[in-house]
Amino acid sequence: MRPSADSVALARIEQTVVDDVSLIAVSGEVDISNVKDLREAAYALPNNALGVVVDLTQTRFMDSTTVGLLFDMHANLARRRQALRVVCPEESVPRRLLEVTCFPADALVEPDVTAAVASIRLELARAE
Amino acid sequence: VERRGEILDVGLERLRDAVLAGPQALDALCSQVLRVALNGAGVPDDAALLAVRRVPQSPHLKVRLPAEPESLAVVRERLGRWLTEGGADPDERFAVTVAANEACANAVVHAYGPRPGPTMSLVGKRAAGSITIEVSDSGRWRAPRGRGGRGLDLMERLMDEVHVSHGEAGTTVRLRKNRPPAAQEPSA
Repeated sequence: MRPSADSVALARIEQTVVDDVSLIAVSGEVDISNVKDLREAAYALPNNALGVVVDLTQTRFMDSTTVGLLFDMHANLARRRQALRVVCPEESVPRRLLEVTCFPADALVEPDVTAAVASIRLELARAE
Repeated sequence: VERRGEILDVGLERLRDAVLAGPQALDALCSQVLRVALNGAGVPDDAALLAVRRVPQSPHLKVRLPAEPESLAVVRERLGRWLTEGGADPDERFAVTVAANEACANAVVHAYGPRPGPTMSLVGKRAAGSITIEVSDSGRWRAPRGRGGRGLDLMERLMDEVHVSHGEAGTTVRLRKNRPPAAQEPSA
């Protein structure tokens, strides 16, 4: 018997650009079977982008490899003077995971993508 | 249930009394209910009886699946349903599901070579005091490469006990989450 999860994609990843910020929206579940899709999206970042917002509002599940990817993104983007923001609601699986693994609080933005993009623009304006 | 010349409530009451007074076995109960509800006489319309018995869920969960990445979503789905039916609260569901997923992912990634066919198994047991999950494979774990230790670290943060035993027959990860004293098995 093939696992039923095979018949539908476990996650849908959408990538757009808003105000020079790259947006990656993940809906569904991310684990070792599909984290490479998110990794590809994360590193397909235009060099002139101000930063990345990863929207996990619709992410029902993620695992330690996803957490590891977000940590790596945070470090890599910081080196390149680009910013990362992760949007995930209180009590959601992504939020709980990022809190329990002590993900940098300055990269967590609560309400929505608009606030996250504004937060990146503000941070970079301050840095200039 | 409905009969000419009497209100519906009377028929429903008759049905309820027949079910409560009837035998335990579902077949015999259906016969009894039909006898009472139809009053032993032929009825002009068709009559259908649908009987459903809730089967008490076992406090144990057993899942055996191919040790492949695609199995993990299936494990989580089965585990989530079992936890919910067992009355686990959101914190317990989160911790146990994430930790069990990491244990299964380790079996998928570290236990076997590229040859297809091997399986992993998960056994869940719940009691008033704790939920335990055992994930077993029949392979030998390779040492984690790169940042492979993040999964084990996560298991330890989320569970009250994490025990990994490597034996000749394979590797078993035992996870235990203590439950607060108020958490009781739901009655069937």
